[in-house]
Amino acid sequence: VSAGRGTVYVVDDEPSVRKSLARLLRAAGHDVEVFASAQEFLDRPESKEIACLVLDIQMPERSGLELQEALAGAETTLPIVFITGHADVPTSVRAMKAGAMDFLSKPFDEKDLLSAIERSLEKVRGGVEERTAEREAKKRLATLTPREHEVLMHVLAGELNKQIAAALGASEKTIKVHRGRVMQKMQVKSVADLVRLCEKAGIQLA
Amino acid sequence: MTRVATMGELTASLAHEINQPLTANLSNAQAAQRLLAAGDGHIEEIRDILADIAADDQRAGEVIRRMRNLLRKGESKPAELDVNEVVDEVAGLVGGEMILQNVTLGLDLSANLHRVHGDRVQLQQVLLNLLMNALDAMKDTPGGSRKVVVRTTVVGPRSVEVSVQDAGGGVPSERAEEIFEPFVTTKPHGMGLGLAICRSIIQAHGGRIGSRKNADRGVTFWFTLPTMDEAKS
Repeated sequence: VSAGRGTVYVVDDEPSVRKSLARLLRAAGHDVEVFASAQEFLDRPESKEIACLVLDIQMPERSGLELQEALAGAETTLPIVFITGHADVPTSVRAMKAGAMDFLSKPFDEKDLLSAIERSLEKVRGGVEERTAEREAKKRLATLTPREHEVLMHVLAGELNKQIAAALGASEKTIKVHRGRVMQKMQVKSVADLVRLCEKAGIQLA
Repeated sequence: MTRVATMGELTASLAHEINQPLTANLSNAQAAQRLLAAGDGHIEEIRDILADIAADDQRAGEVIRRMRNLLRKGESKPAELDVNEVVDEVAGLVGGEMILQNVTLGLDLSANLHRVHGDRVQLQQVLLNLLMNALDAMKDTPGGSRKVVVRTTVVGPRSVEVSVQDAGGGVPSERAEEIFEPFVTTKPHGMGLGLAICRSIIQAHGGRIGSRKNADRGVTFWFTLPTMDEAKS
């Protein structure tokens, strides 16, 4: 099993389980941070961008499900792999409905845990890539002048230079220059790429 | 009868208690396999892992040993006992059940207890029964307030008291005496035998059993046992 870099948070009130999981996950190539309670986890000083949570359900004070609820309000989602020493159907259904990645009964085999973690980290990486692409697209869009932006909207509507020129009361040649600048600033070679990039930047296409 | 019912309730708890060391052992063993496969030494860490596996294995064995003791059939075998030890053993059995029900278990054990003469298993059953009652009583108590405290104290020169304080709905004061009678219960599906059996066990030990209302909420059930020696006080 190959493991990519990423941080795995382990929250379990049982010291021997925490310690053994940390060893296993480190041996499998992950960075690991362990916490003895939900509160300790919530109080952690910093959050890693690529991370997932291995969370025990039954803990004194605040249960794993309560922590899941508390995290549901956060802006970036942290995938959760639940582990439990006492799996009952209603609890697992509740956890999965609330978006858990997996639900493992103790004791579990490393391959089940590691594959659930891998899927979790993969999901986070996908999300991070998407957000990075969105930021980049918006950044490029912001470099357009108001006039170029106007031309862009017409291009996105599928209009020819001649139609755009008529609509904006400019010469076809000027529109051609504007269109060239738009393609250059947006760093795309085709209208198809331009449309995809503008979608990423959040422009609503008609 | 009560013994079997209680064991049924405890099964989930015991599975939890045994699953913890099993989980740690499997993860530890698989971590060690990975370290060995990776080569380049790691001898120190593998040594630590093996020590932890041995300790967790003994812990699982201990849970099973306690359960066996509790289920052991046979006649009463009175012996010299440390009451705190009895409390610790029962606490070890119900710890998982407490977590499952989101209850905090506090132990407040006196260091000055004299030993008593009694049947370890019977006394464990009494305490277990009182603890299970405490859990039942707190079903409607809000999560954060669910707390049980087991206390041992010296009361008088020749007696110790063991008490179980809950934060449940309480017992109406007019029923405080009769709940120790057979077939009297405040639970919807209770048989009303638990406390009656507790009382007969405690009386056979020469002790007394009763309950008192807590100042804030809930009830404290207590029993006393005569000690073998007179306390120095």
